[in-house]
Amino acid sequence: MMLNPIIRREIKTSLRSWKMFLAIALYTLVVSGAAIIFINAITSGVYSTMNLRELSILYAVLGFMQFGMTMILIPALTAGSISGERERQTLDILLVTKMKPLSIIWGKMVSSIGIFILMMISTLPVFAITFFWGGLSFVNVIIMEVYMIIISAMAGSIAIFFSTFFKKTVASMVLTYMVLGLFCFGTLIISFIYIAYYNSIYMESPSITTIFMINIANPGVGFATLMDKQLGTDIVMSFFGYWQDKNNILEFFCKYFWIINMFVNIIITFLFMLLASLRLRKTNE
Amino acid sequence: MLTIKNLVKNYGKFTAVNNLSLHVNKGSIYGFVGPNGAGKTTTMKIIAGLLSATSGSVVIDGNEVIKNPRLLREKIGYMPDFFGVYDNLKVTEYMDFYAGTYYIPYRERKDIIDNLLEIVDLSDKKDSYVDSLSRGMKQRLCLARSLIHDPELLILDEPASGLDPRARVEMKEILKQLREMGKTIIISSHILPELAEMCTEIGIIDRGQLSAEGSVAEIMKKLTKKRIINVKPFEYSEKLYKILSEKPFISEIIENTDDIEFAFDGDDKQLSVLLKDIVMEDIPLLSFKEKEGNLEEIFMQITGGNENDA
Repeated sequence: MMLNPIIRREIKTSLRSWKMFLAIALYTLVVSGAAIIFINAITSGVYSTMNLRELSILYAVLGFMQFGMTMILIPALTAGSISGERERQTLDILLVTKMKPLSIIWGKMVSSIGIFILMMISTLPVFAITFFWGGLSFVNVIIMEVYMIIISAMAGSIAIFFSTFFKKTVASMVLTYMVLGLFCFGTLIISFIYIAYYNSIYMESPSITTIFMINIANPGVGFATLMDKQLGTDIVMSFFGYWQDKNNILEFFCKYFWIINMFVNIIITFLFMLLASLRLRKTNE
Repeated sequence: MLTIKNLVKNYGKFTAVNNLSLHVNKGSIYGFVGPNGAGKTTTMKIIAGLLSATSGSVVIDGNEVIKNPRLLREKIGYMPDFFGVYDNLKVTEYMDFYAGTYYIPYRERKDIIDNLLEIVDLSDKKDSYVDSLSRGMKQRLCLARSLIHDPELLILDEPASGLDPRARVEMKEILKQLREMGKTIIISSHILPELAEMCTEIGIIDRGQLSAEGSVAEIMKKLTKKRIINVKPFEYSEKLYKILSEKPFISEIIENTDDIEFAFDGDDKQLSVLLKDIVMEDIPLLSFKEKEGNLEEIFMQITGGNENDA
């Protein structure tokens, strides 16, 4: 089977660039630095010991840090996918080849995410600290990384979609951040407004199902529920003010919302990729 | 090979291509000439399937481009007027990438790439980075890239623009070689003399319309009402001037220091009779030839009218 030529080329040229080396080094440095600071903080107390619970917090801190960096880095890595080809004046040449637009988009997406996966792999030893000392299992880390890859694919697909519209990479990057902001913070704001409104009318909180439905595509909430699941905490429920209901039917969402959210994000990814390929087909018209 | 019928492309109220029709025969080099903004690039992009036409049809080897753009991409090699290259990519890797975009099997690529680099004389640059090549070399590499899938029809949009005279000559040589290989080539330029030497046919486009079409000689014959004849005697001859001035189809006689030029309004037979008369009068001649028309002037004559309308 022939590997998508765009993936081959992009990975090859990216890895030859000193910028990529620098980006991976910086990323690893930031994650490692955070881990060192955290371990130093928890071991510098009176007894200079650490317990497993604290290592779980380190895992969560590193996880959220990686999540945040995914949301920041992926648009930067992918927003120039098509607009960059336009800026470089290579798009027309690419469009007259036998590659289908969806194949071009797929190649761009996988190569960008591939670079991010490389970054994630480079920080795996840092995450290994948490299960090295017995806090969490390797499977936990793998599940989290898979979730991260799906989230990065979702962010990447949005960036590529906007990239097919604009000649300047900056424009597609800004719009991607805006949409991701809407996904992450917009739905949260809507949730709180809805809770406040519902409370003022009915003097009780609305169903958590509605709140989760509002946040169904929110990668932040999805990731937080995954962390809750892995660490055995109830942060998401508490965040929305539902700590009192954690033992009833709502627990279902606490346990499985991250899976639902993951599938929704996969659908969003394919939707934006499809739209991007349709746009690319008509790019010169 | 290629037939365009009543092609129209509108951008809002602006008409870039206006009812353009032309035919390109298999194995020919068709020069598409016109001033900047005449509609050459738009037409070429429509042929390449990069742009959709507002109306009209483009048929390549019996296949409508609009109905079957993907199949036609096998037949077409396209080189745009402006193009970029990828950084951090070597010449062979650049070619290999495009071979991949045409799904050419890995095992066949090396031979194809080596062969094409030899045609465009870049064999010694195969391990160089593409962004380090000169403009002329990049143009040649892009030409090689457009040949990677062995297309029958090559669409070259201003391939010689921005090249120095030496690089232009090299490009012409490559195009001649490609023609010998049986490729049909459509090549555009805004400079008519640049194309006149290598093209079998020429179409002059202005404001989206085809103003003239045919071989260079045909176009010149059509547009040049009188032929200019240059006669160079061995020494100054009063008799020569007398013979010329007596002929009814000769006018505008200009005596230069060592030759005579005149406008000739007759046919080839009358021209041969004229030559015979001069020889019979025992006037020694160094040369007797028809002066080639000034292609620039012809181009301006065809396209200038519309410019004045603007």
